[in-house]
Amino acid sequence: MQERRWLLEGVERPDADALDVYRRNGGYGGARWRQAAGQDVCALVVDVTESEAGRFRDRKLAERLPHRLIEGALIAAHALAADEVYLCIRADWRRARTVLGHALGEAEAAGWIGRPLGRSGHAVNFHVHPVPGPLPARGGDHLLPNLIECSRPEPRAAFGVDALPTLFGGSVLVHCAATLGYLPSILSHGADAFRVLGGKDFPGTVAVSVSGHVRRPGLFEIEIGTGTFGDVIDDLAGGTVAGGESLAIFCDGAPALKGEAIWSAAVDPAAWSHPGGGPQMGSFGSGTIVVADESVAPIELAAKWLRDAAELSCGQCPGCREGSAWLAKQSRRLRQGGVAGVDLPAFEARLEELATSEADGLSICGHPTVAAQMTQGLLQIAPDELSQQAAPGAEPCTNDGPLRTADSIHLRF
Amino acid sequence: MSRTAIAERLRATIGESRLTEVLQAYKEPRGAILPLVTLLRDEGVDIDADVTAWIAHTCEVSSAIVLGALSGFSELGRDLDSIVVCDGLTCRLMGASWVRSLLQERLGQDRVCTSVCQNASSSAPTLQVHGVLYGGLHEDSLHALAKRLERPASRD
Amino acid sequence: MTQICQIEIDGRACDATPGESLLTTLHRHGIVVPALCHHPGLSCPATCRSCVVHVEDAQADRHVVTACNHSVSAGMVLHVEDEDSRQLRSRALAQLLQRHAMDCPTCEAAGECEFQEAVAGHGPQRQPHELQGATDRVQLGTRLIFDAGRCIQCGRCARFEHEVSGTQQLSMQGRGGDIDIVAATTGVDHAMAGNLVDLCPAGALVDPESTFLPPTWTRRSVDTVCGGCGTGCAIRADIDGEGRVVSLRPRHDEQVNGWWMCDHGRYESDADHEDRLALPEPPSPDPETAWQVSIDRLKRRLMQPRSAVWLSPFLTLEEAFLLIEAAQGWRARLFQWAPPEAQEQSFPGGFKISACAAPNATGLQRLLAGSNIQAGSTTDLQMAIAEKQVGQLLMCGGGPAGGRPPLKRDGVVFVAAHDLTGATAADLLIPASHWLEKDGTFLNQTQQLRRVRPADVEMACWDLWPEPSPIWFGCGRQGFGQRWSPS
Repeated sequence: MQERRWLLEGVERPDADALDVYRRNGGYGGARWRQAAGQDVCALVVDVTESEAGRFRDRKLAERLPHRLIEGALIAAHALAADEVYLCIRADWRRARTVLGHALGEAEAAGWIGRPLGRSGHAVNFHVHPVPGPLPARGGDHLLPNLIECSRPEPRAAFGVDALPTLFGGSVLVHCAATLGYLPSILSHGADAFRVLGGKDFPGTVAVSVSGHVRRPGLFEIEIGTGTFGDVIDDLAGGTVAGGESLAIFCDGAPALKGEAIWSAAVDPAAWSHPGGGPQMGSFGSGTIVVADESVAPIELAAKWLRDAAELSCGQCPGCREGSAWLAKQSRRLRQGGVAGVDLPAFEARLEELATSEADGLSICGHPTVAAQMTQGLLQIAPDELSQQAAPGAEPCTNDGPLRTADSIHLRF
Repeated sequence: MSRTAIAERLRATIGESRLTEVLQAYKEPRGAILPLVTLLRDEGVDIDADVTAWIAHTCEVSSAIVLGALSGFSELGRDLDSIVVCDGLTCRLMGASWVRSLLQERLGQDRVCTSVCQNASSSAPTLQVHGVLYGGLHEDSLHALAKRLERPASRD
Repeated sequence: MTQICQIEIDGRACDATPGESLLTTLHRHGIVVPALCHHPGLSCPATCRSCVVHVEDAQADRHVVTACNHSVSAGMVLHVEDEDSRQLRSRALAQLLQRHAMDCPTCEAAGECEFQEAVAGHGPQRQPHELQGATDRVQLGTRLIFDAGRCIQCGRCARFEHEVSGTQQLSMQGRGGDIDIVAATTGVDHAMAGNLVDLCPAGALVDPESTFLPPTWTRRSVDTVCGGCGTGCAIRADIDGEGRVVSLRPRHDEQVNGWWMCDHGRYESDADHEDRLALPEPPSPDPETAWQVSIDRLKRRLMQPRSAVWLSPFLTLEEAFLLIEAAQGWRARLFQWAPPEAQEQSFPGGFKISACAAPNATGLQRLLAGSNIQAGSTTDLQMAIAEKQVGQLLMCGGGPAGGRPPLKRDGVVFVAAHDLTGATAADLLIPASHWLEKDGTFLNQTQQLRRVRPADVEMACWDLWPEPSPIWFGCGRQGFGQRWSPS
């Protein structure tokens, strides 16, 4: 057990207490690990699902580096003395499931899983738990255990402030897949070596998904604090295809940024209000961005965002259930224009209500809040166009991107 | 088909050892509902009333629980043969609505449906059919794909 | 010894038990916040958000929490009835109202609807509402209808099916704006289905036979105990303006039935059976003296040698005690019967339906044992009759027809039956009172003593007896108006 305690303390961040509002933002552990250290944890639940639009970090990890994922999960399970690992992976990622399945077979054949290991003689069993989509994006760590138990995509509100989630009566630790991938190198090279990279509170690297109207969309692993999102788009992703001012949508819950503002958004969770308490408004999350050029109306994007939010919603809380469903309907009417127009003050008021709903305790997981805040951010970029579109008799604004020709597509599998 | 015959067919489709493995992975058999649904759909089995009843019986829950599970995920409501075009944010920016309309024109509205983000945005626009993801779709590749899919459904 | 700690609620210092939920603590201090998805007998999902209150942390920052699933800790500072908190709860209720079918005037639950009370007391006074078309009412079971337009998706019914009855015949289905309830293919057909109607906070699950009853506020209620089986659930009988029992609902009794009762007790109490005996039979020429005449006749017969009294497990302890005393005065032999053993039904939540289909079998046995009196079984009685040792017999009943074991009369000179109906062939029939009409005590199968109170007062015969007095036939409600004496 001594070894395992060192393991748990080694990976936690130095100031875990400050980060106690635990949301699924690519969590580095911290408070949850410390909690788990004092309890009997029966299983590790690995979250290899991602429902945010534009994110493909966990899928790539499962498809390209399955053994890294398995090794990380195995280390974590040993640290927790947990006997079972449930890899919750999206059912529609057939290729990822197949690759992961083969990798698990290889690991089993080599004797790493399913058999007693090392001096402790502790055996860990791996199970792949396919989860159909879509999932509520901000389910937090109470979504997956409830999903395994009840087969419904519903986050279960925790009792008390900080209880570990339970699965069939036993406590479990739910962990994001990507950050588990760091464990093998932390263990091999030591926590101090890991902390050399990145910042004081947020050491290491982050894998950022970039897609949209950029020349080279893809997943880029960046040392934390060494650049801004503008640098990522220009230097790593090859800049926008059409040139001109781009609009960056931060898919984990931050206001969209246009033009110069993208160059002040650091790739550093410490600079963001959530989780680092920094000046940049919004949630850093996994750092996923979708880049749109000037050919797309922000209203179009806002409507899409709300529609996705309504579809991802689980429906337990009335705010999301009634609120985002209503908003999606209104935003569709906005897009389509038409004779009646849209009651803009009512629409904006309802948006504002939903935007404060998480802080107001009116939702379990904060999904309607993120959806509303993102939409507000997008609409604030072009307020004149918004009122034009809401007026009676407006033309439909369906500015979807055109069908591409062969030479305009850059494939990054 | 009798209930026993249905059960035999489903057990044979999944494989006895795999079925045991799945059921034993959880403290209570109801944890196996979604894995069994996925395994059956992977094998091309449509989850109809009989299959629902078998899953309920095997996982020791009532049919209401299985129905609640199936209806909770829009993915499970789709036909196994359908062509699922990603309608996520990035794919829309990259022309997903044109992908959909082109395919609907060539293959019929019934066969083509949309989904939320398929998490392969660097290859946008994407679609999935028979468990295979196609990315980087442009006009020529779409026409070629549509031609292949025009034949009776085959799994590659 | 439970610990007590100090907390602050709206500036007032209050006592609380650490670890208890905020909702329970607030209720104890007389502060009501709506809690629509919460039920004390079920797990707590905190999805409706209507119980939100503000908690101050150490830095005097206010956070919003749901009272139902947060626990009290020492030194907690709560803001519950300030304007901000009220506004939040009002918003939560406004959201639930958004697509709720506004048919209070015709809804079965009107007047006893938790949602209605919550909105009236804590909700918005006006708000825009999306008018919905009429929704279908779906019959889920013999006495269960689901009206989707009224459903507020609290999930109580699905959780009940999972945690209490274990039958899982209801589940949430769909998601997002389309989330709904689905029933199993068999419908809802288990023995605890009636509790779903009580549970639903918004009139979405209703009993079809209550649809055309007068509204609830025209009724009064009596707290009593169910006599359907040995479990002895605590119940509340609702009585209409004419004194008739309209419905039975469970009351909370932690040691006996928790929050629930079974459908047999709820729907099949059968007090109003059309064959109920109102007067003794054979009928007397003068109804005014019918009772007196019949009782005198009974006394005369039973005072003779070779008399026997066959005690019923439907008698209250008081009735049984006095009858035993009277029998001893007559020097009559005592026997007792119990209903045939059925299968005990156990439910995962801990609720049980007893194998014994009578309320006071345990009580009777304990009474006899405690008084050191021997009472033979039905087999003993049959043997005694066969051996010509019984000349006169009083058979006690009070339960459903056919509940008492059959007996071969076989040479018994005089048989009197004390029953609800005239089904049994006897020389003298004396009307018994139903357990809904009794005034006394039962001892249930887990040795809990509980008071049964008269709810149904419709039996006309009571009008003939101006002075109720505790006497063995009915403890005042069906009394003979005179103190019994052996001679």
